[in-house]
Amino acid sequence: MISTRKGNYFAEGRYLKYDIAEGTIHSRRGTRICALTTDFLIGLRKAIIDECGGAAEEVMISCGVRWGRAFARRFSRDLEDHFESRIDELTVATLESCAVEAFSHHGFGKLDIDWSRHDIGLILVSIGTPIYGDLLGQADQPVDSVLSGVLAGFFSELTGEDLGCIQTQCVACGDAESRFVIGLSGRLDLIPEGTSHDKVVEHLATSTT
Amino acid sequence: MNKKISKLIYDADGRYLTPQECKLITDFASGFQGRFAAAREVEEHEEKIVTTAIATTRSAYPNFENFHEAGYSKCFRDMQLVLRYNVQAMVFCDVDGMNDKVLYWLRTILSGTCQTPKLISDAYTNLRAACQESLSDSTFALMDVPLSNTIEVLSDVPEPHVAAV
Repeated sequence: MISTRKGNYFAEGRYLKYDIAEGTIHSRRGTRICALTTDFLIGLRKAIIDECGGAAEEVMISCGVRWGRAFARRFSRDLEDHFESRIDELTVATLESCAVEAFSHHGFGKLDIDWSRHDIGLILVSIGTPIYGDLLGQADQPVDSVLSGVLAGFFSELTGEDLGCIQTQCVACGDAESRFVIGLSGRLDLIPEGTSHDKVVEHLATSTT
Repeated sequence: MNKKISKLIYDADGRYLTPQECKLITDFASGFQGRFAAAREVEEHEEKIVTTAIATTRSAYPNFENFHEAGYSKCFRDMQLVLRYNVQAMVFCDVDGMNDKVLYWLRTILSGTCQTPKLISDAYTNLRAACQESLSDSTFALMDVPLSNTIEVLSDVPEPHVAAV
């Protein structure tokens, strides 16, 4: 059992402050927050697809990466303030728990991080109720490109490494949960599209690059 | 805020409270003196309660600190925090609030540090037992609901790949 001293930074009723008179929502550290509706999120995705065509996937990942990096920077500042210590002084378990709560309370979905393959440089993430996977319902291929980008950006910023993320399962495609594999960008680029989650991990475990 | 009261206020939007609803709020408010007294009693016995719980846990899990540097000192601070949130949950009859404010988050940490469900259950069962031993019957009766919830929530973790206990 690891010392915590303070409770959940993101707890309901504490993290978000509503000023109805001003029409604003701020985080407890003063960051302006805006709630995005289903209509906006679906519209945004459709607009990117319509405008960018074949490049839409790459654009959404790129947006996600920028968003994820900014999210990680704010996350780090918030926690450093709250725990009164540097982010790299917190235990991985504490960081993980805070990340799970941050993602939940921002509406990204319920994060579950599997560190068991850290020995081969992989972080495996499952997300129940991911944004687009949940909203779009049915699809022929994975639809959480933005979330892939967010995860890549978030963990890249925290680790100081250039990490990529590929989605290997998707709730919109009928899987029980959406799953992602995070690792060094160069390694993930070599994975053929549509490879199953277990095959991706197996391939990366045996590859020498 | 107590969720039942919050929901009542929400449901009463745009109308007057019914006599039954007024009674519910009155009963909740009238219990504060007793719950404040119970909270003071727990505060007075906190050191003894947590020390006893840690000592009992340590005797059952002597190898814990082989895996976690200063593990039991840190555990003391965790249990102290959890006990204080339990008291708040008791005072405001808000176990759900405690779960959100600390237990779900702490549970992820415990799982991340490869604690076993049994260790966690035993440790917080020891906390509950220490409360029962140190507190008056009436105070313990009030604390039992959040404490039992704490044991159930915190120990609801999967078995770790490699146990660190």
